[in-house]
Amino acid sequence: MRATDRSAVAVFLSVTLASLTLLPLTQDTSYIPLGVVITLAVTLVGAVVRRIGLGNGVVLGVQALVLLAFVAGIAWSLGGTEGNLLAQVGGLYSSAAEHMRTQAAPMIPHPGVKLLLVSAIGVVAVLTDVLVEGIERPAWAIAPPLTLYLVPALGLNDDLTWWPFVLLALGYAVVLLSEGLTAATRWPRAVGTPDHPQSDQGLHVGYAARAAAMVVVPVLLATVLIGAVLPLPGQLGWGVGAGRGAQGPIQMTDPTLDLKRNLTQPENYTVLSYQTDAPSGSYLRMASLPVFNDAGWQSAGVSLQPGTTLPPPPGLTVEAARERTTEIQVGDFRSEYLPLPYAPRSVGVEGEWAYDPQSMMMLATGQDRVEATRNLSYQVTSLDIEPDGERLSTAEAGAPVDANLTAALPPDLPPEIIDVALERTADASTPALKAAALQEWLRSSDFTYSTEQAQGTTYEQLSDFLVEDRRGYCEQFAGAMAVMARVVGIPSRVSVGFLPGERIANGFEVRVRDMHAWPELYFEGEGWVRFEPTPAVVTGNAPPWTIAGTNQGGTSTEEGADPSSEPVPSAEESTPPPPSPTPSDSASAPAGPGGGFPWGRVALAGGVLLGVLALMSLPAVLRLRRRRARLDHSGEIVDRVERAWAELRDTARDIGHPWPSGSPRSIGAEVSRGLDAGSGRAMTAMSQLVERARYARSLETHANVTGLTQEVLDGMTAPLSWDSKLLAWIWPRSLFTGLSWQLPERLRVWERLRWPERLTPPWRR
Amino acid sequence: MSVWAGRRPATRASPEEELSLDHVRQTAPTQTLDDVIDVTGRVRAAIETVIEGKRDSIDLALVVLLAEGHLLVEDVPGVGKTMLAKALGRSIDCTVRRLQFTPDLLPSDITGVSVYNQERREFEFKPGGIFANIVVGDEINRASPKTQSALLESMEERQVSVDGTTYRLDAPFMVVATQNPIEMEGTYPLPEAQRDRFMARIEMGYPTASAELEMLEHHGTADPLAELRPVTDAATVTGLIQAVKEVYVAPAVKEYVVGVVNATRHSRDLRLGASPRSSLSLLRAARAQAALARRDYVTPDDISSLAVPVLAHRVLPSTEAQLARRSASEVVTAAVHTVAIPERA
Repeated sequence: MRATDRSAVAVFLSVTLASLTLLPLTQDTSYIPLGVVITLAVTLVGAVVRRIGLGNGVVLGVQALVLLAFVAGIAWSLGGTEGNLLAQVGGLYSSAAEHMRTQAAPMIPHPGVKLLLVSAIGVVAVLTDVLVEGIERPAWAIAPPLTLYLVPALGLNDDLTWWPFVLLALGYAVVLLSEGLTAATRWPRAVGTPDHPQSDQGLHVGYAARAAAMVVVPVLLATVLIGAVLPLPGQLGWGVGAGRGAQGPIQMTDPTLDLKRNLTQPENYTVLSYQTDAPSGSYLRMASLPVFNDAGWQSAGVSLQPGTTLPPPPGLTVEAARERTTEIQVGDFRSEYLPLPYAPRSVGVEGEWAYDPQSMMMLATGQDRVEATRNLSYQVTSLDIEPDGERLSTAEAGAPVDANLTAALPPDLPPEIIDVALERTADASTPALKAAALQEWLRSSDFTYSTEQAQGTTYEQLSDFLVEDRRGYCEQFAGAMAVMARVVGIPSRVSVGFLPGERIANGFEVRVRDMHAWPELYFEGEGWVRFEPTPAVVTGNAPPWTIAGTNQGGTSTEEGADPSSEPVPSAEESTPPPPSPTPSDSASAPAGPGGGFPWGRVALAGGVLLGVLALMSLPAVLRLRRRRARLDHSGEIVDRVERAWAELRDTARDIGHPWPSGSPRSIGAEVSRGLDAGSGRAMTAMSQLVERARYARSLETHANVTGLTQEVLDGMTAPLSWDSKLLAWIWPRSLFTGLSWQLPERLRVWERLRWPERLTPPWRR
Repeated sequence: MSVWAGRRPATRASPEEELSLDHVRQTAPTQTLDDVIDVTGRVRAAIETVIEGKRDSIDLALVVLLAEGHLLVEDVPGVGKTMLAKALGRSIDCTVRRLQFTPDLLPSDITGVSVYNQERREFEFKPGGIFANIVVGDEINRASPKTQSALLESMEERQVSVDGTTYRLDAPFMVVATQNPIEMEGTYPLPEAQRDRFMARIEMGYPTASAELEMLEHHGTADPLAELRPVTDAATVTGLIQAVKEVYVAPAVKEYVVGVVNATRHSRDLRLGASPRSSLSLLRAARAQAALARRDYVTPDDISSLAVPVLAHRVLPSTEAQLARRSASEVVTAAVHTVAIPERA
């Protein structure tokens, strides 16, 4: 077997093993045989074309053609013969993307996904083949299979299991071992004899093992760290889904439909009651609608996390929230959304629930989820978001992680809405004052509360409500305020839930007509802040922080509301401050599957990339430091000669130049043979200096050791192409041969492995 | 037995004479490495007028001469074994004797014999063939073991004891014995213990085609050996031997010698490894080789290149190695390669 054939087998094994790491993604295992076939085809074609003696470009071209043909063949077999094959492939890919966005892993079988996985395996096989055989850098062969491994490792919200990791490492070890064996046959042996080839081979296999340890361990460590420590799950767009074995995405119902229906219920029955330590009860929030477009306010796809302990509320960094405990008993009320006071921290509830860290809403994920809340009793610990009015009045409008949704205005928004918003906020100087001005206007007598549904499109309704008849119910008030807030630059969303309800003997009672909608506006440091534009006839007083004080701008205080009646509490002594969210939490939280530019993700990717680059440049830096130290002028002449000699040896190893074992003289003769005349003479001189330094009585010389060394180094590197120099610089092999990795001899079994004589093919005998 | 040449009568080494011999050794002219190069260069050139294209064998013979050893030349007939030995002796102005070993050769032919002189009414010692600076022992395996051991004893001790009297041999003293490996009938091949007395063994090998052509060209008409004139003398050679002893051996190199010899003892392909005497021989030969290369220090290359000539004739390949047709030289080479070259002193 030739060395390249051995490498091809190693590449095949490595990629095949890596392809198995995709198994957690899908229930469809039929991609595996196809992946094996495409990998086999790619490596086989590579080996054959290389045997013919064609260059790497040709090999790559042929492999790409084989890959394309294979993919086209699968697409054809999957989708029948009708239509354009190219369109067929494209259609399968895009449907696969859609499938993956909407499915939770493991996905149900889908032809497009199968094609996508097989294509990915094929590409990885080609890349690995190029790395191992094309540019002969098998140490880098970890990278392509690693991408396969990383998809489930980073994309799934599961604990990392050990076996894909082992498969990946095993495949990589195979590649390195093949390289070790190849190196043993390719590198010249100066004094090796046919009698004892195993000692030489052992050296290089040892090198391979060391390289494996040096590369595999940090890379896999980094992988585990990135995958496990950073809260990344859901990043890769595996859609709404929670828990293992979920069969598909969860379809969220539109909470505003319930809202309209419930507000017009003929009988205002009690839906739930609760006990809380908040003095005036709590708004109970069920859902949040971050998206506004011509279809109205809508929910967005969210990344649900299983569990009942929620992360800190997004954006809240000031310590101004009290912790409240609320016990809620739901009656005959069916919903998949759990009514919770904002911002919930932990929920003690039966059943299967998942939360969205952005909107802080909890959804049922189990059986009969639309009836999940019926007759449910649960306990909530929540933070009472009551911003300090003065501080809020100077706060900047922040940029939440999902700003691409919550700050976006549809381009076709009627201009009169924008005009109204700007007109009404013209006198206000800060975002919060603008918001207060909008709320004040909406609560003024200009508007009339009515549950009569307006007709027309969303925009027409909105224009009607703001400009024409100014009649509506909470949904219109909340939606209009949220839209206008976005116009003046404040991210907003509409939340749906319940008003605090009526106080009864032991707590509060919420009736069906208490269902309500209200806007939440985002401010830097405060996070999402509740506003209340719906008139007092329904909602009572507006929250104190939403009312501009007389000393803040020119707006007047809302009638009936007394900002001082409920002084804004600073943190009480008995109240533990809420855990302040770390920057990484907000930076790495999912940005949602919608449009916009995911700066957080880019920053994270950039950071990871920088980390990887730093890791990759580490060998070069270490090598550079070692070189500097060795070419130092200080010290005894004997030491200087020895250091220079070691530097020559390591440089030769870096660039793959032969450096035989043996005495200085034999090394000098061997190495100078590969150099030009000038540097060859310098090499011979150096070898004699080393010989005298080691074996003579004393070394007295006027030779310019540094000059000689530099001459030899120049001679070694001069004939190299720029890319070989770069590779030698980035990946100094000498760094790994220098490590002492001493296994007891009886454990080094590979040194005793011999190809049995009778199995040797006749042409090699 | 045929005595080939004897320019100087053998001297009886009485106690007084032994003293004077030491005196000669002490007052031998001080020689430097340059002298070693100069003199051996002349000797080499002289020998090369007789033997074409055998530079390695000649150099090894010179190494053995300077290291005060004895040389065993082993090869098929007609490749110039005796010629090498004779040329070496001729090019140095010293006593050279040739002993043709035959089954009827007696120990006394080698050591000498005491004969009763009737005129002087006393026993008179008639020195044997061994009393010379360079002794050429031809076809040593043809003599009986008793005769062989008489020679080998004298070689080792550099003295001869006859009838209770000890006679010192002159310095320099070197035995060049030849042995024919293919004609085995009626011969007594040297046992391993006896081979150990020889510092080195060389196999001459056939000359290259060009060297053989050259030989036909020159040797067809005249006898070059007859025209060979001495280019140095015994005293100078003694001085060179002293100079060689000054060559420095780093401790690391000594360890390497021990490592190499030990490797032969632990090789699974050898039934008998090299003796401690062989480490001494190896080191002395390496000193001489270093001096021939104008170096005042020994390198591991000297050791490894001399390992086969110095060690191979002393070891016994195991049965497995013999069955695998691996020669002692191959096994020794393999053993040497298992020893790491010392890096720092």
